[in-house]
Amino acid sequence: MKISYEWLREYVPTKIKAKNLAQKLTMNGLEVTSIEEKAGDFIFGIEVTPNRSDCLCHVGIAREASAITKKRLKLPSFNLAPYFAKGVPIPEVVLRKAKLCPRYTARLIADVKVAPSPKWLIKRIESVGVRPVNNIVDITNFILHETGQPLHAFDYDKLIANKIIIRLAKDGEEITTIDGTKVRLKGDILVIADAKTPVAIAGIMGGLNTEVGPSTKRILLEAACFDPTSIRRSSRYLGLSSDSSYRFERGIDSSKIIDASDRATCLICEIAKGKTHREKVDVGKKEIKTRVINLRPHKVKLLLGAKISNSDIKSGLAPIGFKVSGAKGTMKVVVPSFRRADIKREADLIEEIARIYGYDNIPTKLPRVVITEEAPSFKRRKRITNLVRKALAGLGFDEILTYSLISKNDIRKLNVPDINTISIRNPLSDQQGVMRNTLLPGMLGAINYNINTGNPDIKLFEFSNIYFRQDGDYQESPSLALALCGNTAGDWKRKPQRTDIFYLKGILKTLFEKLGIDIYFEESQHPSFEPDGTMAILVDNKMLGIVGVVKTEILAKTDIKTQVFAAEINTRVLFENARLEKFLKTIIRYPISERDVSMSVNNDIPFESINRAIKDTARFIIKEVRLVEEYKARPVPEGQRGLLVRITYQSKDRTLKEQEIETAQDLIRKKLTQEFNAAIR
Amino acid sequence: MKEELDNTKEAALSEIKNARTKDELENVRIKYLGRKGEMAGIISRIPSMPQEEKPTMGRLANEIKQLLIEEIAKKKNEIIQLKVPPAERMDLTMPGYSFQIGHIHPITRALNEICEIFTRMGFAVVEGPEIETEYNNFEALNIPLEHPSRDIFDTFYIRDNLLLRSHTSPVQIRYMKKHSPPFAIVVPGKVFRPDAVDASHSFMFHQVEGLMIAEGISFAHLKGVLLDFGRQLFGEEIRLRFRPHFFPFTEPSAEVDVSCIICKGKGCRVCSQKGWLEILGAGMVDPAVFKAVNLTDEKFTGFAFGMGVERIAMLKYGINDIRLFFENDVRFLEQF
Repeated sequence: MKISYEWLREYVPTKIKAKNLAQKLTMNGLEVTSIEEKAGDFIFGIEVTPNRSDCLCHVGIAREASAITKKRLKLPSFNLAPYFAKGVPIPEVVLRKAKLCPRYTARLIADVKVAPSPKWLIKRIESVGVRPVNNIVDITNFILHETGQPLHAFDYDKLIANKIIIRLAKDGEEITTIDGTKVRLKGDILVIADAKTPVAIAGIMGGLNTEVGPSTKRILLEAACFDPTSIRRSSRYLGLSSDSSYRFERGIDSSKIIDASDRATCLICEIAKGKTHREKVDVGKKEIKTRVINLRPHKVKLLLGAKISNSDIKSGLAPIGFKVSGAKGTMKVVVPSFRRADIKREADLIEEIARIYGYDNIPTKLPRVVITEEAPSFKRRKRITNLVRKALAGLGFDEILTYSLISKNDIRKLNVPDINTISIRNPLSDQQGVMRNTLLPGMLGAINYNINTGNPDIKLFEFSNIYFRQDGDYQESPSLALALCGNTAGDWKRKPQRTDIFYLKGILKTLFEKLGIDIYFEESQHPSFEPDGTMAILVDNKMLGIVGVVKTEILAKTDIKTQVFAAEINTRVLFENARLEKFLKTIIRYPISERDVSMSVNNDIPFESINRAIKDTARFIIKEVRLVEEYKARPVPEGQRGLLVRITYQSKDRTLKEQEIETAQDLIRKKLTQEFNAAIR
Repeated sequence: MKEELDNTKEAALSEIKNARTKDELENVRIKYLGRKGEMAGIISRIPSMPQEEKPTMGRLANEIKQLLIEEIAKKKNEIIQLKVPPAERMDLTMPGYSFQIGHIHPITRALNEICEIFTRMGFAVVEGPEIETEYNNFEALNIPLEHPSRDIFDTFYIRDNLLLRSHTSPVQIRYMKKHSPPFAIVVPGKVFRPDAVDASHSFMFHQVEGLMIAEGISFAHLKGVLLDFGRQLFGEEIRLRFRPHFFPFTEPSAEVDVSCIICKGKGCRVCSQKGWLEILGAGMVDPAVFKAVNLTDEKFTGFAFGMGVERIAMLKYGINDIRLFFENDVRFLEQF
């Protein structure tokens, strides 16, 4: 909201510099976010919080400035009496919806001469960004920015039957507002109508037909109070807001309606040469019970942690309009009418006391220790999550963070079923229309981005939530995805190598070893991965995740022109199976012996079968079976491959004899020949 | 015997000195220190010596033995070094091999750092769902359905009464419903608001919420805890400034500024010449919130605070565009 420093000083005769005042207002909770110098004046941009509807005008800010500068508030004085005339009629007003319009006042001003406003008035309203229209409209705007009371002036002679009815709109009723838009109304919108049609959307905007113009002779000046919720609802429904609706939504001081109306009438009579009847129309609730709140001084001290005395309380609250009585035990505080919307409870008063006392003056203390335990299951998940992140970073993977909201198309591209996805009812755009049920789209997006910016060798992971519907419920759970493409790091000694699926398998094996999970792989299928390039990651027969070569057709749809290898991990199985507790396994000090077996086998024999067959042959003395080399060139026959396997022998309880090892080697060679028709070389 | 030992020592030292190859040296070693070597021969005769000479001679023999071991080791090193002909010296100025290490995302780093500071103070980390009820996100936090205070909380809806949380505060409600004070928690997590993406806005971002409820917790404690937090995060020299503000779920409420970490409060481009940077919102828990969770014992009071993690990470790491966090450019990620 804009506040003119010069205008403000009409009500607080202070010499405080604009910048200092801005600083003090900020520290009092009225944050001045900008100061603009304009023709010798300073225009403050003030962020008024929704609770301070009293500060949406110059008098309101002046009241705060008066408390800050300790200068008396000087409200404008006026005298309406000289403009009273007998022949002016009193308008007829019917209030049908007192609940939505607690109070409605109207005054008829006759013989007005509509003309441009005097310079001083134009200067004032222009300083706060209001466009001058004519003297009548400008005065209503001036009063709004002076007192916070929205006013509306109708051309009285254009009101059918010279009548005002405050009622609900009929469904489908229409009105063209002063900004020229035709608005279709519905049954719960409060309108100001004449005998026939709506002439204003109550508290929001007036109608074009009854607008005050050059030919206007008699005006009906409305000063009313409308129900904030009703105004807000209508304003939102119609997509229509104004300086008036902004203030009504936040609540106005209904006890100052008459003052505002009289002051405006006075200005109109003076500037536009009008006259009015002594009596005005005033329907609805006239008296509002003053609010008295009990305040316990000890509670103030306790909640703020500051030694605030009773006299601090009194001297703090008085300048901002509160009346404080009683000193011992409980104080009684009378809330001024302009703070009724905001100050309802003791806590609200304590805030006012703290605000005026100054947050800076409240001491800074540390609480006596409050130690809280985390839920054991959460502690465990947190440890595992951190460990995964650190281990993957250690293995050369960069962590990424991608948006949880993606487009439905992103999911479809991956051939992943989108039947269980959660849609957003009011998305910003289709690009963020659904919640992701897989991390892969984000992964591929990041890969594409980096390839396009000249970094084709990428290793990424993300550990974030995915979202899906399950049995009618909305679920969210963390997921872990890894992806890589391009080459491994190289240097002058070691040439970079093309990454492949085995790189990722190795990473997964190492990662899960660190987490105490012994994984193995089995061929599998996944809609996003090549049919002959997909493996399930298992632990104790449970599916821990999936790893594979991303389908070329999917990469094509994502504009990626290189092979991508990816894995997605089910974190529930991960959390359940991780073993974080370390317990030393005895180091076996008996010597190890290494023996090689070289063979050629048909291409369709999986290495894993050979591996298992070897281990099963001499389980108790084989420590490890390692694939040293695969070769396909001559002398290996076509359709076959050569495998060089290195077996490490070691016993847990003795030194192995040469003969034992040779016997095992013989058995292995025999088994390989029998089971796989392997040619031992 | 002493003389014999001395002579052996001199002879051995001279032979070590003259040895030119590893083999020659090994022969010297075997000759003097081997199992059947000269030193072993002398030492084997010590037991038959007069009682009073035994300790002295034993010690001397051991000293000489030790000396010879050391000299042989030294000589061995010399020989090895000599063996490398000058022409084959390595060019040590060639670069070392490359290794790659991955990086933790700056938001994760900032989240962890923030949570760890509070954990050290005794706070527990608690999480809550991102898909949240309208009640927990709004009404229970004293944000009425049709009220202007809701304007700043535009929200993504999934269906009636179910939405993507627009702040981490609903976890306060969930926690207070299940636990009795005293407690102190921090809540990290993702939040969503339908803001169009630009350099300072994102429809998804991260927050850390804090809540401490106990007997006698005051605004002074809020100031104390946040000052300690600010110092741990930004450095001991920073100052904090508490400004009155409005949040529906706290009363009194404050916006908290930190003295600009770039210019130390003098005024610069980052702080728009103000010397202060807004970093979080805070306040004393509003009685309406206590009522919503049925915590009616007035002796318990508490404070709550909330901060945007992207904002903090941007200030701390000098990042000027929030979109960088979600672009995942490796040239960005690799700097953390």
